[in-house]
Amino acid sequence: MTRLFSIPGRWCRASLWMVRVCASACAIAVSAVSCATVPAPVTAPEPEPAPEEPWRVPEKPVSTWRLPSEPGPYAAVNAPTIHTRTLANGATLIVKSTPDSRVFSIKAAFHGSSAMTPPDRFYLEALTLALMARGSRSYPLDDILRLQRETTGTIGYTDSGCGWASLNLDGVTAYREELISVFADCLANPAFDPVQFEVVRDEWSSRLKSLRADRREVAIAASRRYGAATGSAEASLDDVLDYYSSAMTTERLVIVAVGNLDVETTAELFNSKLASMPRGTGLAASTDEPLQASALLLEDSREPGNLAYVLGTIPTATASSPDIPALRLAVSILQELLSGIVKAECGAGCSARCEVHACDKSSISFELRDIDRPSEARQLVDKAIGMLASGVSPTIKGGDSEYAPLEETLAGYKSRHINAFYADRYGSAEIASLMVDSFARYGDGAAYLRYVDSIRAVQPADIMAVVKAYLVGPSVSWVIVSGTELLPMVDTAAFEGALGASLDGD
Amino acid sequence: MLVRFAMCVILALTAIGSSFAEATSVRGLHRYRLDNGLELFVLENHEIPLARIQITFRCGAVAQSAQTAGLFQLYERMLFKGNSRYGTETEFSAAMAELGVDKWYGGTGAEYATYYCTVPSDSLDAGLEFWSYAVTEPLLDAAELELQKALLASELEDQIADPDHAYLSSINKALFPDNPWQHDTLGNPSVVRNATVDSLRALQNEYYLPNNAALFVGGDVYPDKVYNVVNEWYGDWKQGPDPWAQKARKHRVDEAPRSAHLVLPDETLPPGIAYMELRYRGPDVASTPASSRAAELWSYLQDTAFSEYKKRVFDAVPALYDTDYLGAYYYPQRYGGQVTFYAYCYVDPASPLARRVSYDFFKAVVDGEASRMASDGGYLTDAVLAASTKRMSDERIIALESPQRFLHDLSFWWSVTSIDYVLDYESMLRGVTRDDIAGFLREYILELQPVIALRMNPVDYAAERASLEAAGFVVTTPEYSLWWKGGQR
Repeated sequence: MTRLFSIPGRWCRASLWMVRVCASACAIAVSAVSCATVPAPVTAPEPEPAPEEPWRVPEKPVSTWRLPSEPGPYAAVNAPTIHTRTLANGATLIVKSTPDSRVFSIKAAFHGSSAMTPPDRFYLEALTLALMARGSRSYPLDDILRLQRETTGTIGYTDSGCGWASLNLDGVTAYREELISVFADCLANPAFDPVQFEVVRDEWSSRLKSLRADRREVAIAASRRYGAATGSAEASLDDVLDYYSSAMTTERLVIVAVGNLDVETTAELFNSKLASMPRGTGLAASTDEPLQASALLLEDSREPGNLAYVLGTIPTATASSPDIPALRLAVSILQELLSGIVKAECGAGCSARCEVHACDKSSISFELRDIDRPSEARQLVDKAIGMLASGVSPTIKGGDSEYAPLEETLAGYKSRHINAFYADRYGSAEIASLMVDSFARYGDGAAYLRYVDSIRAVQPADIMAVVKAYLVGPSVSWVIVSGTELLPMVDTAAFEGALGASLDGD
Repeated sequence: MLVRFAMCVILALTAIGSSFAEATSVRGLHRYRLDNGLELFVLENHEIPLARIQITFRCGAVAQSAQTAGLFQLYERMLFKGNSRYGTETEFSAAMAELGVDKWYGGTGAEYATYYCTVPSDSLDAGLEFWSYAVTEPLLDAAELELQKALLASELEDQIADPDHAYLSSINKALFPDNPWQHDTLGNPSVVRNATVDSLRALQNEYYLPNNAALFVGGDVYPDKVYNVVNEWYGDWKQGPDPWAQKARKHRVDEAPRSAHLVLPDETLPPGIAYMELRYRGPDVASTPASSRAAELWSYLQDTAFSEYKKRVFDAVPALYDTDYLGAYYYPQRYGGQVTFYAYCYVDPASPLARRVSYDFFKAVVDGEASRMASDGGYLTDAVLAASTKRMSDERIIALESPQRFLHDLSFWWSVTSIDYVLDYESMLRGVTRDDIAGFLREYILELQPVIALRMNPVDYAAERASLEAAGFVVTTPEYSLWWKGGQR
């Protein structure tokens, strides 16, 4: 993939910004000179119109739903099974005890993940974790593989973008003790074997290569969203060793265990095995900002064909904002609206996503796949937002009418959202992921239990409020990926201006 | 005082409620039977706030005659086109959407019809009510039926024309020469076109009965509460005569097919690559459960790292593709168990496929591996058998951790045999001996003839056509595969 064009939107914006800065600098200079040498003007100048305030992510919540004071049945039955302790090394331990389970899962998760590294070195943490899973001081890789084969257990890692990344252990309860011993040694005393490092790095190179062949990944990388496949796996073993000792530190670490486990015994076990883990003051999150809003990037996929992939991204509320449940629900309805509109008008595939990260880089994105008229993408997104902002939603109930007032459909959308949100999250490993997410976002491993309560509490007015506050007004980072035949025909002007700018104002 | 009295009533009701359930060996799994014979299995697991509702009937192709083949598919369509509560498909879909369900899943297979969906657990009661109308009181509207008959018959014709279906149907016809319609999951378009409301009502009255069904509910649910709701919505469903009382049949080894040689010119395979298989009529779970369990463990043994099966077969047969692309497995069924040996291979003019599959492959897997396993005590060591049993059991524990997967598995085994087969699975597995496996191999593999089948790119078929025809291989055209057209066998 090569970038065919410079970044019209971005350069335009950059130029304007530079002009404004220069103008301000000149004004100050002139003003300074004026004070020294020039008398005050006789007539007051015409007052300049106040500059339009740039759109910002709302600082205060705009929705008014409230979480019921009493937890719902799901939270009530599960909350007593979750216990949190602080380990002697400063790490947090959260155990969900499920005595009936014959399978257990442990995640040693490091908060921050790729948000801690510049985007072009985002893979460092994943590379380090991958290597940690391939041997420790007491257990060479061959021993680990043999144990995995004999017990059906697995030691691996999860790299989930800028929220967190983790070293994982999944296994059958009958082999718990021996598997945990190996896992803990991988965590506290990784071998960092040079031979295995070459293997891991090669795997990463292959992974990056395949990601770069994917239009969506290319677009994400171009928009410099966190977790994108930018950079290359050129790290050395020394880089990994440095990263382990300076960044894989216990104040970033939360260990989540789900299964037939007792919190005190588990705490004692990890206290005895993780004393040697590095400690530190923690890395600051990378200050490298994502792509400046309102850019339009055109990426040449060097593939034949007249179809494009379009990705638009806007920043949104942080995970802890009370607006998030309403916003997630709103985006799921927006997805339905957009699908209907796009299907009717151009037959392309599309999706709208609300990606809430544990770091402060949450975003909402609009994706149109295999679209033959990419210049229309923004207009289609605007249309869907406009409908939702006016309280219209797809009926989802069939019949003659395609749309219905939000008040009539919201209950069904809530159920559908809950169904979709939890659909593939059965099993200890998935529960552990939910708990790590919860802890990384809210500092509480049990917070996920109340997501159902929060979705049920959202009202139609909340949906309309978050749509108007978060989806009407922001500038969008647009990326279009296609072949060289289609890209020159893209009408860049169609992507200028704020999202929802064409709406009537309500 | 009143509060105390109310508490006593609640406790008494709770005690009564608990007595509904029959204990099972699986923690959290509760088993009930309604007065009308409907079996209810409830798996309590509160990890995720969702609940699965699945209803399964013992029917499908196995219940078909030549005159009704295809009607179960048609009935399934009509099931969701309106019922006494939700009169039209639109109303049905609207109610489903209100529950947060995009669509229902499932279908009608060889030995069962099953339908399921997942709802948020706070919508479980509404979900159970919703399904009750669909399964107990379908309208079977005559006008809608005419529409669905035409649609389904047309779809069946398209599917019958699919080479892949023709290949599998040809194998089924060879494996089950006396009753191929009982293994044809699609059916005959002519039967569908001639269906009437009365013929579907007859099907409903014979098979879609509470005493021929089981309801599986699992997830963030409370068993006795589920029982009460199910009793409310399904308790009045009228039972009928057991449809299987007179039809249960025992698998006879002498039903086994005569040898058949089949070939499919298959455009989905790249030139130079072919697929070969030997398909046997295996044990039936319902009538020969011990052989079935032995076959399951044998099946696992062929694929485990503890076994040398793949390597030896790869070394013995010329031009096989890769050890990861060969294997053997047993497919358990109530009346149609099958055992398959398969391998991908290179097309090689020096080694014609007709001989390679009929002689080299057969010799390697049957005369070689199966025969040695059945007769050579040193072939399968106790250590390998124990390690394989343990690993198979562990893999199963992991695979069935999710209530969704567990209930799906339970539903399958309920339909093909009984849930005892699942509940006692691990102990039954540990009870399988080397002699059991040897017995299975002697009875079902070594003393029977397989269906021998090949798939290869049309270009390669053209090049080997003469040798294939000389060896008696028949091309599995759609015309050949149709049992109602009496294609030559």
